[in-house]
Amino acid sequence: MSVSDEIVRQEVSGLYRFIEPLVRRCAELREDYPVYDGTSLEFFGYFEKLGRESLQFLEQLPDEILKNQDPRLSSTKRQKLLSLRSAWEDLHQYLRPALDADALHLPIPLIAALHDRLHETKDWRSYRFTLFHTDEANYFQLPSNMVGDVANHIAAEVGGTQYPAGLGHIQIPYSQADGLFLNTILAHEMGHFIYQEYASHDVEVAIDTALGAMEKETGELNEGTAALCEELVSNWVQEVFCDLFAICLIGPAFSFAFLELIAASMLIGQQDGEPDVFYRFEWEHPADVARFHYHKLLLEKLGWWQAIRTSQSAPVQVLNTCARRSKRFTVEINGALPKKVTDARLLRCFDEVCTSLVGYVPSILKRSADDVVAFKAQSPTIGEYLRRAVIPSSIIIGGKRTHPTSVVLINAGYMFLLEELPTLLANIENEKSDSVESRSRLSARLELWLLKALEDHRLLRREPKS
Amino acid sequence: MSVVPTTEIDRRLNLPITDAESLVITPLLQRKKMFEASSDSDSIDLRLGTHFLLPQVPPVPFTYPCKGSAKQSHVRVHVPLGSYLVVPAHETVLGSTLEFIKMPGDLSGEILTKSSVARTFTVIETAPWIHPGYRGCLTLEIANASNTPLILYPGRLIAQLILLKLLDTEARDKKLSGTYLAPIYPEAPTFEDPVDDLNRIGVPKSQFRSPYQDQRMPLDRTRRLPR
Repeated sequence: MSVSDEIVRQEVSGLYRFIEPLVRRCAELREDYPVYDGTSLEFFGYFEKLGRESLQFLEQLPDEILKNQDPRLSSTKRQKLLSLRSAWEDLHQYLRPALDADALHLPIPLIAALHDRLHETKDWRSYRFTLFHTDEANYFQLPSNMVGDVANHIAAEVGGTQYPAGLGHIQIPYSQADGLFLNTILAHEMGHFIYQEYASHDVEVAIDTALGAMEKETGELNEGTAALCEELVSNWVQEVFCDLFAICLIGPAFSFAFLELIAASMLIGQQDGEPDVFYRFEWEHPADVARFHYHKLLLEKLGWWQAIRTSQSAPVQVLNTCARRSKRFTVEINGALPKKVTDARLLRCFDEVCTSLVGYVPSILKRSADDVVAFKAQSPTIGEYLRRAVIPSSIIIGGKRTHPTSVVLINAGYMFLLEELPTLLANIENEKSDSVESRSRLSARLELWLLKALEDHRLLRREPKS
Repeated sequence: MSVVPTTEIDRRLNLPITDAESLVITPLLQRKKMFEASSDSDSIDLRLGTHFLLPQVPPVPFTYPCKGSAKQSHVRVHVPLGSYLVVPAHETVLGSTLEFIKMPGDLSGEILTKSSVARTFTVIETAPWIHPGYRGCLTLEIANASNTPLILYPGRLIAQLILLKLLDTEARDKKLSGTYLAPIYPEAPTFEDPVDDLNRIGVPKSQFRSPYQDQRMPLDRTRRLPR
C-alpha cells in the first residue's frame, strides 16, 4: 500500500518538532549567565550545529521519499526517520545534564588543573572533557559509543559534521559538584578515556598473554569460556589501569577519595565473619582490596608512599592493610565459569597483568617525581597556612616565595583534612571539635580555600614573567 | 596609628606564616611593579574577583535583615576573567577582591575605591575597615552611583588597601572568628532575628512589631513603616 504525501510529511515534521527545541536550547544560551566551561560550550556548539544540519536534511526528506519511483528505495529512505529519531533520543538525554553543569555547579579549578596535568603529556594535548551532572551517586565516563558514535551516525545520515575528535564526557553527581577532594575521582574517569583512545591495545596484548598461559595449564577452552574469561579480566584490569592512571596524574589524593567514596575505612578493625564486600570480584569491577593493593605498589614506585606512610589517617592504614595479597578474594558471577577455570587461576591472570601495569602506566604519562619532592618540602608549610585559615597559593619557605603546584596543593590539603582538621577547629571560636556538623562545614570551607588556591596557582603560573 | 609604608608591607609579605607579624596578600599579580620606586609608597592595589551576589527583588516591599534573609536576598553569579558584569545605573552588587588577605594582629586596614574608578562614580565599599587578624577575600559593596550602566571586568584593579599600625600593640595570633571564616567569595550577610537582638537589650518580645504583621494591612500602609 502506498503512503500518502500527508503521512510522510507528518512523520518528518514530527521528528523535526522533536529536534528543534533541542537546537533552540543550545542557540538560546545567554552569553552572560550561566557561565560554562570551554568544553561545555564546544559540546553545545556541536549539538546545535548537528541539530541544524538534521533539520535541513528533514526539510528536504519528504520530497526525496515521495519523488522516488521505486517503492523499496522510498521505503528505505523512510526507515531513516526511525534510526534518526532513535539516535536523537539517545543524544537528548545528555543535553540537560550538560546544561545543569554550569561553572557555578562544577569544581572548575580542579577540572582545569586535571586538564593542565593531562596536557603535560604531549600525545594527549588534544584530549578534553565535557562534564555532565548525573542523578546517581557515582562518577562515570561515557564511552565514545554513547555520545560520539551516536552523533557520527546522525552526521552520516544527514551529511553533517563529525563529532569533535578527542572530546570525552564524564558524569559527576550533581550534589558533589562544588567540592574538591571527592571529585579527584574525575582523574579515574579520565583514565577510562585514555584507556579507550590510547592504551587499550598494549593492555589487551598483556591480557592475551596471561590468558594464553592459563589456557596452556587448563587445556583449550571453548569459545564462550575464553570470551568470558577475557571479558572479566579486561573489565577488572581496565578499572585498575584507571586507578593507576589517576594516581600518576594527581597522586595519593585519588586513593583517599576512592576510599572515602566506598567507605573503605570499614576495613580497619574488621572482625572475622563480617561481610566480605571489599573482597568480591564482580562482572564489572575487581575487589576493592585488590585495587588498593596496586595503589600501594604504585605509590611506592612513585615515591609517594615514603612521603605519607607515617600518617595515622584511615586511608593510609587501609592501604597498609592491603599491602599483602589477600586470600579472601571471591569471584561472584553466578557460577558462569566452568570448573576447570578456577577463581584462583583467573585471579592470577588478573594479578599478572596488573603487576605489569604498575610499570606500564607511569611510562605513558609524564612522571610526577618533582611533585613528590615538592610535596615533602612544602606540605608542612601548607599545613601551617591552612591551620591559620590562610590560602596557600603562595607560600614562604626559608625566606623564599613559592607557588605550590596543583598536585602538591591537592595532596597537602587532603592530608590536612585527614590529620589536622581538629587542630583547625580548636583554633576557631565557638566551634566544637567533636561536632560532626562542624567538621563537615569546615571540610567544605577547606575545599573552597584549596579550590581558590588552585585558581590562584593558574593565574600566577600564566602571568608574564617580565 | 601610623600608615605602613610599602617597604614594610613587602617585608611582612616575605615573613613565614608562623611569624605573627606576617601579612598575606595572594595572588599578588604584577608584584614587581607594585613595589617599584615609582609606585605609591603607602598602599597596595587590589583587583576585582570573579564571583558576585546580585540583589534580588524581595517578595515583600522591603529588606528585612533577619536569620532567613541570607537565603533569599541574592543570586550568585560567576564572571570569568575576560568577561564582564554590567551594573545598571543606581544599582548595587556584592563582589569581592581577587586577593585573599591575612592581616597580622598588630595592623588594621582600610580599603578605598581606587581614585580613577571613583571618578566613574563607582563606590566599592561602605564598610571599609579591616580588623587586625582578619582573613579572607574582602567583600565589596559595589554601587554604581552614576546615570549610566557600568562595565566591571574581574581581574582589573579596583581598590587600594592602606595598612595602619596599631600603637603599642604586639602582633599575636588569636583564635579565628567563626562568622565569615576566611571567605573567598562575597557572602550574604548573616543576621540574628531583630526580636532576639532587641530582647537582649531589654525590649520585651511582646513589644516587638514585625513588618510581616503590618504586611497584612492594605499595601499603602507599608509607606508608614519606620525606616
